[in-house]
Amino acid sequence: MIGQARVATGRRCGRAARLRTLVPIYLMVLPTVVLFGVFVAFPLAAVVGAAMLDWNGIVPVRDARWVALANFATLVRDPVWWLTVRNSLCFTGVMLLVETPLALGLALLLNAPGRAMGFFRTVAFLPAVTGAAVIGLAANFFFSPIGGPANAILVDRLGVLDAPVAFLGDRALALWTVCAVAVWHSVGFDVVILLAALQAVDPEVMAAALVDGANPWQRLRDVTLPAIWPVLAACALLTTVNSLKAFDYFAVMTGGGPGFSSTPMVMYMLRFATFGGGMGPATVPAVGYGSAVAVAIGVIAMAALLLEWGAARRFPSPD
Amino acid sequence: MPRPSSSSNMRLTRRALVGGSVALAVFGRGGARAPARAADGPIVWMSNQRHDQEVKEELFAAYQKQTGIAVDLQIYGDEYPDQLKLAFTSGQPPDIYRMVSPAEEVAAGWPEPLDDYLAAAPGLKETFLLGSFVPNRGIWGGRTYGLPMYAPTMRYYYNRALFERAGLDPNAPPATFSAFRQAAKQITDALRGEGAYGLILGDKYTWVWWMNGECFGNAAGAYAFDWRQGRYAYTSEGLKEALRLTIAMQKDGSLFPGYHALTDDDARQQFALGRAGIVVGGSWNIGVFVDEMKTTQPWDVAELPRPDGGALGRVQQTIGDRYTITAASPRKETAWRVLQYIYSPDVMRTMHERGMGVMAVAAANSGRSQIPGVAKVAPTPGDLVIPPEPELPTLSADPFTVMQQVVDEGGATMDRLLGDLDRAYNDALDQAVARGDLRREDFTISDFDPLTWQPRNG
Repeated sequence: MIGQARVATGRRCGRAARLRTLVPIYLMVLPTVVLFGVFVAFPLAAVVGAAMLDWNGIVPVRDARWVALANFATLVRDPVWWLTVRNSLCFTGVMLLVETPLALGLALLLNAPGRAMGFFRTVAFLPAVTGAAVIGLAANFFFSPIGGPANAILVDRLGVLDAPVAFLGDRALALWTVCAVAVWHSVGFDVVILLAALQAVDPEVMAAALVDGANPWQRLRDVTLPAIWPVLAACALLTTVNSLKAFDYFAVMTGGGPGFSSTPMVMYMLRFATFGGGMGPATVPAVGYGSAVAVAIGVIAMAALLLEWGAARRFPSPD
Repeated sequence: MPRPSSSSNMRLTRRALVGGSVALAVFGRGGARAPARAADGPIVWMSNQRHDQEVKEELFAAYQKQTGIAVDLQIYGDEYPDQLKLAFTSGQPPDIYRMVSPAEEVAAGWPEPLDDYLAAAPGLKETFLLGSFVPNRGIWGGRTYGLPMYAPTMRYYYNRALFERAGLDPNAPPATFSAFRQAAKQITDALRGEGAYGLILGDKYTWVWWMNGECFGNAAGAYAFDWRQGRYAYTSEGLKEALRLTIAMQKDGSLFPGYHALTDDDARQQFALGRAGIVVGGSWNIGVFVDEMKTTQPWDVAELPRPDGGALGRVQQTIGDRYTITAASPRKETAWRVLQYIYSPDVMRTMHERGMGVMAVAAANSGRSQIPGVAKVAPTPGDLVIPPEPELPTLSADPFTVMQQVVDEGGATMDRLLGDLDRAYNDALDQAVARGDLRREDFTISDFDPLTWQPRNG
């Protein structure tokens, strides 16, 4: 009896001790969980829920019509949606294949010692401190067919073109012009991050490579890249996320046009969330359908990130 | 694009399990009647009509002197619909607002029915243009909502000086499609070297094809909606004829270059600077050229051209900008007095004569004004207040983006693109009818003749 009582008392003490340890931990975690729930999980669930409704966002949601997966079925058959997917993937591809390598190249150049480098580093970073909307407005002016500097140079100075070109108003050029502006705008941000990574490369390892007779290409491939790989992968992931949700460049520069030739996925989603988004005769918002577009964008972004993450992990670690 | 199937008409019980309840919590009171503003302070008037802000402020200042009632004008830009929705969902609705999507707003309980107010103000309803109060335009569910302020007419604006320099008679602006094309070509041929072109449009935002495509088609007897059949009619020959006119002008080189990169504002600015002979626009453009752009160019106004064989229809005159009292306003009586003031024929006439546009109060459109062009935008027998069209959910393909594409592709894909558009809109309409959202008979006028049909109030 006494033994059983001691065991029971011991269990109670153990439980109490565990509680004393765990309760403060749970209390400390609780604000984060609540904030995550309110600002992330809840809205996400709401969007998924709204995607299954035929709802205009004006009448109370309780009066919306339940359509299950019909919005997604419509989306799969929607040719304009697939065009916007293509546009977003092209934009993301350009940012990954042009902007990230360009940033690496610039970071390597700017990693050289010398006082002048500080100036060039500042110049490289300058566009990144300006908002995308401001950059877009400036690009509108720069590429304008009416007195824009780009056309003035190409037509009047260089004589490369016979007549001004509407870079942002041409179905074949609009998307690529936006890509070019976005690359120029955001490359400085990656340069700064990669520069920091380059400066953290162990000089002794580099010195050892020099002693071993490694040429510049070998030093880049076998020492520098492995050393900065985690940072480079992080840059690529950030670029992918930002590019897939890009909206501001397109909204300011082309409005998604001409037609849908430069409409990204996010702009297409917003088309259904606002009044007159379709700009047809007397249209009302289709928030349910827009939510389905939002869910699809989330799925595509997640798939792209998983693919990229998988690819990044295959690369040998710096160790 | 087909809209979501209507087959699933199950009510909220299942929805609640999946996400509806979450959406309800997050989107919360979307559409619910919100607690109103405090009962003191000025009457809050919310709108996105910026062009008449200055005049309205003067008028309301005079009204405050007379009555002591202050009106706080809150004017927004393109974000207006979202701001309006936010105002209602956050419990801060205005006392008076400009309706955006009336049928849905009525369903959401935002506006106050005006039947009792109108009944207590005999003769007021009769001052409005015929067609202002018909089912699905002013009347929903048998009750009257909102009073229309403007009834814009569609015109083209031309530069008299450029006409003269190109050898055209500025007193005889082109009245037919082929004369219109010829005038644009003549201006371009004569003045391209100076950077001036025959016609400018800025279709970065494609809605301008409503003016440059659909309204031209009206004169050829084509309307987006065929009320005789109760169906959309994007494949009509009249619309194709109108688009062929623009395609021909594009092939002539008469269109201002790079117009896809221009907004309508950019286009009007270029016209105001004398770099284009013609720009198409509504009666609201007078205020834009005079007050906003302060152009010094000698511009004039003319009715849209008709097909060479003669008019087969009249050009649509829209009745819009409907203002209403908010159902949740604690000062509905005061708000109604403000509406009665602004809609009085004298005040409406002042707005018209100051170049604000064509008013929905018929007697206001005197045509008398010191401002050029006002007389020429006043309604004529060539204008038609068209019957209401159905309101559909936003579709992926809109008519104006399609019209832009048709012209870009030189008309080669016109039949296919317009056919797809027609199918998408009619499919959506059929589904709305099947769901019970709309009744086709409400939008069917079996004897509709665009040359003779006359609107009437319901």
